[in-house]
Amino acid sequence: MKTSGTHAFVNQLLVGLLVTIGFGGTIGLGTVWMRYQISVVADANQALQQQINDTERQIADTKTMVEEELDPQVLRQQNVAMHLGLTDLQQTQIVAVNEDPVYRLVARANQRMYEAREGGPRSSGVHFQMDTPVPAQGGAATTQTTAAATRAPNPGSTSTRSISLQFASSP
Amino acid sequence: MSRGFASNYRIVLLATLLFACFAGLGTRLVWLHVIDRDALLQTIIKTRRQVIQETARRGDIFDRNGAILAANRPLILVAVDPTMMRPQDLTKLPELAKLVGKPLAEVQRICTTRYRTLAPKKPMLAKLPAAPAAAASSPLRVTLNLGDNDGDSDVDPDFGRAMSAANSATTDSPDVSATADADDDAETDTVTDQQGRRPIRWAKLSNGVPEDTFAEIQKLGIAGLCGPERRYARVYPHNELAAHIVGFANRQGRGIAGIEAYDDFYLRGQDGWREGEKDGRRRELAQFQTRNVPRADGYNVVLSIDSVVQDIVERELDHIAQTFAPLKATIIVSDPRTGFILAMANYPTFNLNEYNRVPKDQMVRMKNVAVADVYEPGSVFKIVAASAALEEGLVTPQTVFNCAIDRVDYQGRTLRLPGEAERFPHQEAMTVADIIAESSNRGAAQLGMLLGKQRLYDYARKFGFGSPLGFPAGGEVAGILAPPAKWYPIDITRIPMGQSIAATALQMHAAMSVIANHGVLLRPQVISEIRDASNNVVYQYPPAEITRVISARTALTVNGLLRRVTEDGTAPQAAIKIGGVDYEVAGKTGTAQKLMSEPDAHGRMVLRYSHTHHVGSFIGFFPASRPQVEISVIVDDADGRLRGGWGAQVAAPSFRRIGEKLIPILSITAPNQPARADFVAATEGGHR
Repeated sequence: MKTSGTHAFVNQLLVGLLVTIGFGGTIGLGTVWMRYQISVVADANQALQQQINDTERQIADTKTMVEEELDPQVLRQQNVAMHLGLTDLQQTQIVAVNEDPVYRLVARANQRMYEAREGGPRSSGVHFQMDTPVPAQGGAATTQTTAAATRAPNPGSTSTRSISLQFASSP
Repeated sequence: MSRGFASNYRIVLLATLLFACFAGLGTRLVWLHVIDRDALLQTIIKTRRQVIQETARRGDIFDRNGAILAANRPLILVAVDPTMMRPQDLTKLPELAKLVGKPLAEVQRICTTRYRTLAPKKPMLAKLPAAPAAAASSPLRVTLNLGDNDGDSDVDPDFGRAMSAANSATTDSPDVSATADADDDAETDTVTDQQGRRPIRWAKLSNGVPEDTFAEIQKLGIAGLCGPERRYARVYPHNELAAHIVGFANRQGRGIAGIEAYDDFYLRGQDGWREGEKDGRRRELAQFQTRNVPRADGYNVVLSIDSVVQDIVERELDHIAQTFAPLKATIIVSDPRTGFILAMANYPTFNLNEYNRVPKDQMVRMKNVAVADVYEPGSVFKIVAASAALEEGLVTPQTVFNCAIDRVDYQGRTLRLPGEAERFPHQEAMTVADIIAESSNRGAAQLGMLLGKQRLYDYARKFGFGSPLGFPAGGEVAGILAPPAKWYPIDITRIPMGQSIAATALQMHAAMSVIANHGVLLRPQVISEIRDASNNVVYQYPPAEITRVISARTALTVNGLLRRVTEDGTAPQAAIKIGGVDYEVAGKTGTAQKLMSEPDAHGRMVLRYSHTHHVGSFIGFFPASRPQVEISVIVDDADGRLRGGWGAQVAAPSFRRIGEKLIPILSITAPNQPARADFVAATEGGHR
């Protein structure tokens, strides 16, 4: 390519122009691509925000529907429609327990367990160690620990785990 | 060397063309961006700019166990742009009408009405006053001639007038009609066409459809369908439950009654908005968003109401309504140790989800009569006179009064003492304990005279009468308690027995709580917490003491006197004994004769205390030695099927039934049974 004289100037001008056009075009295309990417990200963000809003709205709707189904009037109708025969709770259904319930429940569960195994009541193989004595008429909650040492009534019958399971399942 | 890759003239021609193109482009750009800039910008801004409002979610209202009493249901408002409707869209209108639940003719009218002709401006009309609601249903709303008081009449004329005005049925009934549907159903363009018409660019088809229904509408492909405008509709999952406490918000999300109105500031939240641009299909261009103000959802309000207790109370009111057909009835349940209300219900009531369907002549159903209506408390008020006399050391429970006399001299005048109940044994000597247990009117009158006007008035004020207690919901009124200077001579014998004084049901309930709470008057409260949208506690309402009314010792003494009412007094029907366990109910019956207009000897209508219309009440608490719950039952005009309408016959049995149901639910322990905080029996349908 001629680099001096008129032709050279025109050539250089043309090349410069083409380079400028190319560079400008690249910048332009880059800008367009960048703006497109910005719009894509913005749209994605918007969609995510919309999704979050929709989810919140659905949660609100579901909560409302659940609450409507829990309306006492609806529950009473369901009781009749499904022949459940449920009645209002009455005080006579409740037995007041004034002693420590843990001691009472453990004793009762073990009593039943040994009665079932031995075919009748016998002396218990369970020893309770109360760190603090149970108040007879305390009223308020007491802090006490109950340690139960168990001895298996016959070889290979059960473990501490199985006893605790039976205890938990006893009414 | 090469000459280059083009000849001279070709290069010049190409360069010229290129420069001409650039010059043309530059000129056009200058034209668009400089010369025509303003006009074009206006058009662009108008067509592309948009402000999208994001509706804040109104806060929920919970009961104390977390049950939702007021919630929101998300809906989408459906609207069309009639100017964008294409001929092929009109064939889809039948399906659209089906989906929005409107008649086809109406949908066709909305979708095809493209212009609105501007009507000439009308002169502004003065707003006509609303028709007086339920005028016929209120027996007090009559024009009366009140004769002069000769000192021997039973009626204080000033008090009669005040009662008539106070219980006007229109008082505090929320004006639903003015707020129910204030939003316009169509928006027009701001520019009129050549014929003076404005094109309708937005016309509402439905106030709200669920999301899935809107998705089906979108599938129809109607060009004129506007973008989804999401909003929330206020719903009340439990319908009538605690209607007068919760109140309601209108379609615009503004609280109108009850807690909805009182705590509207916390509940309503703040709408968000974002400014940006939209494309030719009205889709938002998120990248051109210029400003974004996020919405702030409303705070949640936690009430002290227990929905299980409230349900029990409302069922009992249904029972009272079916049995006695009263004019109205109120039941209040509270914890006297804190002043927090566990339940408050009135008969008649209404469905919160259908508040705008209550007929105008039945608007009184929306009134919280527990705080907005006054009644003469009758014998329950005797606790005030007795407490005051005991506190002042004027009497002891064993002080004896002659209750057989019917006239007494007081400050130079001979005053006629009030009559006793028909069943009442006219005993000459009655102790203060007997006066309370047997509810002697003459004994109470003598207690009042012993106290004197000023001291009786002062104690009544301290017990909370004559001024509002600051209850948040329902338009609380102050009641009627005139200062002693305005009393008629007869009033000193009538006020101690609960006549010539009017109080709200809540005031009477609070007065009884003074006895249960060792002499301290607590403010009755129903809001326990305010929580933000993330459920963090923003504010917690502690128990609020108003004043100490009487000493703890006096309160204990009166407590013991009130125990006798259910043991061997006027209301053994209120005693609660389950499985041989006595729950020690302390309370007081009340049977107030109602002021009714009756013709006198000259045929004029005058106010007289009726012998057939009564307000029967029983207000009490239990266990007396360790009060855990207080219940008020007030039944207005239950005489339809019952002679007398005594509080003991109408209200006391309801007190017992409610109390029996509350014992397992609130884990109320019997007096001889130690309470265990660590072991609570399982309650079916109880706390969640």
